[in-house]
Amino acid sequence: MPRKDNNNLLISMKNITKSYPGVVAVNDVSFDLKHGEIHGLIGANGAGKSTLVKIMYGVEKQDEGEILINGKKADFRNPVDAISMGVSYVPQEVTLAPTLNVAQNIFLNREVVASGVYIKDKYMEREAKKILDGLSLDINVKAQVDSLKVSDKQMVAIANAISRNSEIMIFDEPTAALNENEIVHLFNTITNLAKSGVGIIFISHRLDEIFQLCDRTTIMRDGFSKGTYKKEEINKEAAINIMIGRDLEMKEQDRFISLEKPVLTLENLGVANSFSDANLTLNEGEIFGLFGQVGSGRTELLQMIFGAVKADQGKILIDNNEVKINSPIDAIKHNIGFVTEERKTQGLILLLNIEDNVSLGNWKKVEKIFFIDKTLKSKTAKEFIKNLQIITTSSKQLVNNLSGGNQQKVVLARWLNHSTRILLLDEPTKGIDVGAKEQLYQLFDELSKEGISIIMASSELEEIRRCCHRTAILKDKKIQKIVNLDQISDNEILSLAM
Amino acid sequence: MTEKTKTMSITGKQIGAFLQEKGLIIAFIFMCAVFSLLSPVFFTVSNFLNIALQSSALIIMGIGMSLTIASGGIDLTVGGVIALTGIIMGIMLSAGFNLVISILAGLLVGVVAGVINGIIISKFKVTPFIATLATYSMIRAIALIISDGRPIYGFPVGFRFLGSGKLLFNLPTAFFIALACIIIFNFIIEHTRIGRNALAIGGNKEAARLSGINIVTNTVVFYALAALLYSIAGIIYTARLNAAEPIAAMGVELEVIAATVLGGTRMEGGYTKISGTVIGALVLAVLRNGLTLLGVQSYYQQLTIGIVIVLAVLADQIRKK
Repeated sequence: MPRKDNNNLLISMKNITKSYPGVVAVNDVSFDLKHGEIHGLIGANGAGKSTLVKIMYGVEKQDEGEILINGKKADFRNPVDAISMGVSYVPQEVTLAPTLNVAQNIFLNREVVASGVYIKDKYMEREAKKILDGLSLDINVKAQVDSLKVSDKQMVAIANAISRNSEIMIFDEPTAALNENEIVHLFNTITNLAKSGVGIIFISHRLDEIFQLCDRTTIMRDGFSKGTYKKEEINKEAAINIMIGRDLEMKEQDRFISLEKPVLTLENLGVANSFSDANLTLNEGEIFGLFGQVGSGRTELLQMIFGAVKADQGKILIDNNEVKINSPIDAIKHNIGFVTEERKTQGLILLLNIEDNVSLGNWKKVEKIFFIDKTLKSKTAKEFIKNLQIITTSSKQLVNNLSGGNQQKVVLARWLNHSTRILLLDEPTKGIDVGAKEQLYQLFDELSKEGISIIMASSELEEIRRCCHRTAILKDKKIQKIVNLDQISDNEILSLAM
Repeated sequence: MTEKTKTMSITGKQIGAFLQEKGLIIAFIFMCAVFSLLSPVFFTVSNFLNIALQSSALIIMGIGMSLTIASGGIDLTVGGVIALTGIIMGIMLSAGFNLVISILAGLLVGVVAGVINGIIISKFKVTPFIATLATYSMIRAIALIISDGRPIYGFPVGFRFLGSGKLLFNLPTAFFIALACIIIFNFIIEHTRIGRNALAIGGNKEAARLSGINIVTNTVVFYALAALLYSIAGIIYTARLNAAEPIAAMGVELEVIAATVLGGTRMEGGYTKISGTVIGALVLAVLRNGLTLLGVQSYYQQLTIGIVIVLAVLADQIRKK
């Protein structure tokens, strides 16, 4: 039932302030949400979006300010309180119970029970199937969640929130793991929910989708709200300027690439049942793109080159000499570095500091006889902090406390410390905000000028265009075509990739 | 039919667990066959009754351990709870309290210990390993203090019946108590919210919390139920020995954890099968029994058990690949 009464606000947050030791995460922010509204929330990493949303969901408690839900004062002690007042939250990092199945996750903590104790799993499976069918999703309700693809997991999390029939739904970066089709599905679902009167808060780094979807958008910077704008009042460029507080140079840089000096050549490289017949040549100082949707085989190809997955067909040539790469150790010996997609779980030891993370696996560089030279270790890290402009209070800062962009720079620093010549990047700007992304791109440009050759896998065409001259287009675990980016339109690329 | 095959193909991990359970059963049967060949006494009714008696307490404790491990924790208080349960009951029975009241007091020991464990772990956020290591030490100490370090002997016949008495088909009472625990707790873990919440919290605590599951209450319930089971095992222990010893069941937690691991419970939490734990406990009990019959020294028994655990875990990893 559409509700006409727009004066009655679903959420009204007044002068909310929340501090953590050393930082004011949310500073005197007021925010409201109407019935049937899709309200975008944008800002650079660390701007305070997530904290604001956590306060709405009872995960964090504000220091000052008040929250009204449907005009009633809300004093959330924990998520249970928020849920009981009709608030649902789909977090950024998918949080599901991995060993339970899809239906059990959708009904987690809302199990349907008979005689007060017996959980009716069969009934829940049927209901879960209806919900997924309603979202046009083909996911087996009995599948254990950790066997699902990332995008399916995301959809299960969304199905869980939708099935709660909440009046207020918060989506924190819901599209990060989805492909184009799934995004269309999700947007239809969200639009329909809004039409039925549900108020939706939508957080995203992808500004295009924000302005496509949202009725109003609130922009945050450094903990402050920098205003709430109606759809017609703002565009992407203006929003970026407000977000980062300055004009961003988004200009592509022209660069001469010597196409005569192949550094890495793949000939019919493949592995049974995973990736077949990869042929490509990477030249010195080139940034070569691998463009494809989620599941197109980007990661698999990079893993093969790095020896994380052993290729069983074809060969790899470095400087025109055939080499055997059977393990990451072999790859590192040939000066290949791999920046993985999941920097937090595969790239960094979050509870170690920057110095240790930079020298990790490369101790011999900072060793004297048999002990680690702390001064040298510290000096090494400080050089990288300076050269890569890593923002931190000290080289002894725990990596866990750095922002996404700076964490990624620490991963890069580790590989550069290994004298890497060939750098494999898998979604290097995943979950990193616009301003920091551009900084990383500039860094990649500089590295390539210094002669480092880069293969960069990405699902964002804009990013590929920004950084690369040539790209391979991947689909169904195969290279469909290798193209010069200035000779092909976006539509042609997308039609090859989908 | 098609739905069935679809499920089979997708939930590979469940099949894996099923295979592991089967693998364990096959290993179990093989082991029984070998012992039967080597010892004339092994394959006799009286020996099987003996094994049933010996394994009952281990099965009951294993179920409790499975619940705590599945919820992402571990419980090292087992031996302490068993000792204190015995001592409390021993003191009450000696003081002339009624049997039922004494047993209830014994069970209360487990519940209180479990509640304290649960609160320390969930409310004060102490790692389960450390929390239960500390409470174990305290519980054991209390047992020693109130008994002055001396065992308590001489219990009424009605009480001893719980340990060495026979019920139907000449099977020991303890066997039926274990059977009841298996049925009840299999139901709790598979079909009730308590079990579901344990698997959710063990699999991903943050997901559980965000879905509104109360971590504190649930954790307290898991540890209380687990320790209640240890107390039940403690009653059987005490009744069987006809003595309550403050130093009873020293190091038993390691054997309980071994049975649980053999049974396929995921050490990181999120998955358990009671049937697996039961077979795991039976494997250990038969191994001890068989080796004893063959005259193998207890030091070598210990060694064999270690080797079996390593082999089981290795087989599991090879199968997963």
